[in-house]
Amino acid sequence: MKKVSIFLFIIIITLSLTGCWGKKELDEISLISGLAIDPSEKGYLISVQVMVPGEITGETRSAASNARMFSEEGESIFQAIRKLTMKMPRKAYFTHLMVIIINEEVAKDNMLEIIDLCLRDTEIRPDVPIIISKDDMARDILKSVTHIENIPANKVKKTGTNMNENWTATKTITLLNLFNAMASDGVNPTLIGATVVGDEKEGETTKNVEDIESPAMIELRYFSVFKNNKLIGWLDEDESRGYSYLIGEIHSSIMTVPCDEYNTYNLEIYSFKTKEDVKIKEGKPVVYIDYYIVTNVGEIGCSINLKNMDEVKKLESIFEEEVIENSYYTIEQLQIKYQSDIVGFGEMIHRKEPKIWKALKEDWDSHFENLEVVIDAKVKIRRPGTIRGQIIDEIIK
Amino acid sequence: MRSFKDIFDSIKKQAQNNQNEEKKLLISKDLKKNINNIKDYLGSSTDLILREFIIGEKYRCALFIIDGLTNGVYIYDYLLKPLMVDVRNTKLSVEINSPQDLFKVLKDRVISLIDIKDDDDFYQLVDALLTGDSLLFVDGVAKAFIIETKGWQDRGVTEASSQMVVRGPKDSFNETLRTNTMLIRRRIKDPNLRIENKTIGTRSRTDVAIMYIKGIANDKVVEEIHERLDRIKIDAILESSYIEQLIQDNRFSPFPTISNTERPDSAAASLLSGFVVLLIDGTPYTLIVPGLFISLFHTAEDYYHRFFFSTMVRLVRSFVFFLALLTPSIYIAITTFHQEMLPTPLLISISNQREGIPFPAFIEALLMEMTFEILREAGIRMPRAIGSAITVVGGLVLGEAAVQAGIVSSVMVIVVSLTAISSLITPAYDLGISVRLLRFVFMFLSASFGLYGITIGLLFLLLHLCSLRSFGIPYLYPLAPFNFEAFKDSIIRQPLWKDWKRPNLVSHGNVRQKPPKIAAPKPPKSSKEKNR
Repeated sequence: MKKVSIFLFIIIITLSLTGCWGKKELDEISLISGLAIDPSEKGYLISVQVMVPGEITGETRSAASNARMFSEEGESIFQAIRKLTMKMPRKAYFTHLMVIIINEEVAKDNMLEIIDLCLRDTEIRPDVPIIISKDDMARDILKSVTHIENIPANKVKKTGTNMNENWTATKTITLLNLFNAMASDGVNPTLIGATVVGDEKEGETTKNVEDIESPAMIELRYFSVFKNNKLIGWLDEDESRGYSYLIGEIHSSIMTVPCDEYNTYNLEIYSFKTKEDVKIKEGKPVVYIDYYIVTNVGEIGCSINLKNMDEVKKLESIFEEEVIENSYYTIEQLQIKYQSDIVGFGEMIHRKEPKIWKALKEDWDSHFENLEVVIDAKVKIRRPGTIRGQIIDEIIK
Repeated sequence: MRSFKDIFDSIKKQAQNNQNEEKKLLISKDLKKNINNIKDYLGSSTDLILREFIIGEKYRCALFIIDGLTNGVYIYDYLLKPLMVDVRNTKLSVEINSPQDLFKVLKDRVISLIDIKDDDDFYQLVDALLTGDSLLFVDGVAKAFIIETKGWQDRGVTEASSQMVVRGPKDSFNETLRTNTMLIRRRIKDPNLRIENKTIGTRSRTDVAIMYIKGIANDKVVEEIHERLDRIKIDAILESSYIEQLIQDNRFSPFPTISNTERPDSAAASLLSGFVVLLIDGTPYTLIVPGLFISLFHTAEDYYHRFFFSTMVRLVRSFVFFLALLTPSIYIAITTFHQEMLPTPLLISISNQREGIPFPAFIEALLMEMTFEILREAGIRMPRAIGSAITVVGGLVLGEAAVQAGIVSSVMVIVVSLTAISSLITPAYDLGISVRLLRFVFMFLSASFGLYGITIGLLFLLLHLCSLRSFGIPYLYPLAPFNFEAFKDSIIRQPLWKDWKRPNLVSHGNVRQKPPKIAAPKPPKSSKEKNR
């Protein structure tokens, strides 16, 4: 009995002495949804977007914005974040961070410090998407009030995901992806760029959501190209598309080929598989990439008889050519314009031919310039859609 | 050492026996003296009824009954009538020369009741009288009859009130021991079903029946029960819980190591699995020994439905046990320590509701849990007539108004109601009580250490459960000393048409059911085929 009471006493004392160490009530923290990093004279200009729960889920929603923004300058990012406490009534809480937006200028200058901070900090998750602001301040993108999604930062994140799943041109890259790409020898990192389209000043006010068509919208477009952990340029839309093919990051997308001056053939990709292989030819590695693309007919602008297998085969080969050409074009651009291997050919060689890789590793970027890549594609059309025949033919008749 | 202990024990036992023997007091031949003795001993209580009469010309007799404990029909039609009326009209064809002769004739030829014995011990006689038997004294004989005439007001066999079923027998035990043994005997007509009686309580002299099936029940458990029951020295047993608390293994455990039931079918099922059932006079709740943790999750109905459904329901119950135990503490832990664990939209929603609540989550949870406990207790104790008032006050005022006034958040109300409903789902009320208690412990732990606290608490709980034994059987059996055969009827319920064995630690592991050789019945042949 005495033992038990002593035990209980100790338990109660320890329980009460901890004083709920590490406790933070929900009304003592500010949930940060977005972090924007811009350059400034002092060093960095940090902007954080704080979610206002009452405006997002409250029963009586006012016209007020769903999020608030706080900015602070500092010599380092961490210093600036801590300096924010002078302006914020509650502790900034980063675990629900949805997006990190980095100004193009910062990315051109120094990315390593940002990556170090974000990975080192216990609150920021490694799966936060990172986006580069192209032509605009990062904070302007974070500021734009948007339709549909309540929180601007969430809009940026979800648009990325949506595009990734239904369109090819972009792929959201997370903090961890970025770090892996930076740490690896055989691949250079790439990030998507975001811009504000329309009137930026209007975009900051809630007026932006009052109209049916917003005066300002956030748009995710283009891949950036990095070399030596610094941003060196951007891929245009065609190149971005070719890049997506090369890395095989396509879930569902549309392929378009013009059939005459105004009209196009469109196929909807529903399965996209890439097979990579590396072979040694005369002591040099050659990368082979095979696409296997399964599609449905999406939109046909010209007369073609889909009941005829030969016609279908012909259509398939048109698209095969298109994909191959697009990929070659992108590789060429990467080799000549940027000399940066963002696709990860080096990684492929490393995996398949580790012995050769050892020799190439040291100076991969210059070797990449002369790398031979052979691309082959197989496009399969599975279903013509709900109308089998030619609507155009029927009408013209 | 052991032999020494045995010797010591036997000496002790002998001493006890001697004490009992010393208490024996022979009655006298003189009727007057006997009557006076009994009257003195019982203090002439008003319910003690004495009827003096004369058989033949000279044989004076006296009949004692306790009013209310005896069956009137027995007394008038089968006792007094034969003794006083029929005796005169019948030729007994035996010559009666002495009171001893009469005594014999009365037993053999006159009294037409089934259970009749004679005794010469005063205390035995009084004991019998107080249990509802009649005493018949004959002047000149130093013995008296104990005639079984028990019969008193009894609630009758009614529907079970705390362990309801949708499908299954509706009868339940009542307060009369004999009725209860009857209800079980009617279900199990096995000659091996044994009923052993004990009288416990120096003042209440409560009958306790130990029921088991010889050859199925673990003999060591039966032996242990006998020993533990013998050790009880208490003045009265008013409910089976008295016995439960006095013979259970770990007295400081919040968990019941002896389960109980008020359903005869559950008791019968337990007997058939090799458990021992203790029936206590004066209460409809019978004890099932040994109590296993897993059996607290079982109901009689599990066996009356098909196994898919029963298995699902059992899994739900096991899951809900944790829900009832941990919901408030997990809520506290997540909202005060681990906000990163919630999906963002949910966190925003909770955060919005927490906005402006004056208390920290822990105090808020404590407040609501206490409120619920108060409501619950009030709901049980209140007079029926004001029931609706409590419902209105409890449900509307405390729930909705508290939220609207901004004292508690609506998530908290959801958490508390979920917990409350969850704690009611466990079939064993006892388990619900322990869960209620432990819930507060877990709330303290989570408020201090977050999920670490909950994890540590769960670890300790598991250790504690593993350390428990009920009459030598591990409490977590068949989960902790894992036994596959017994596991088939634990958190899952196997189909009845499969091999079915009894839990091997509890019983002798006999086969309960063997599947027939052709496992699945075949459809009858159609008439067309027959004609061919």
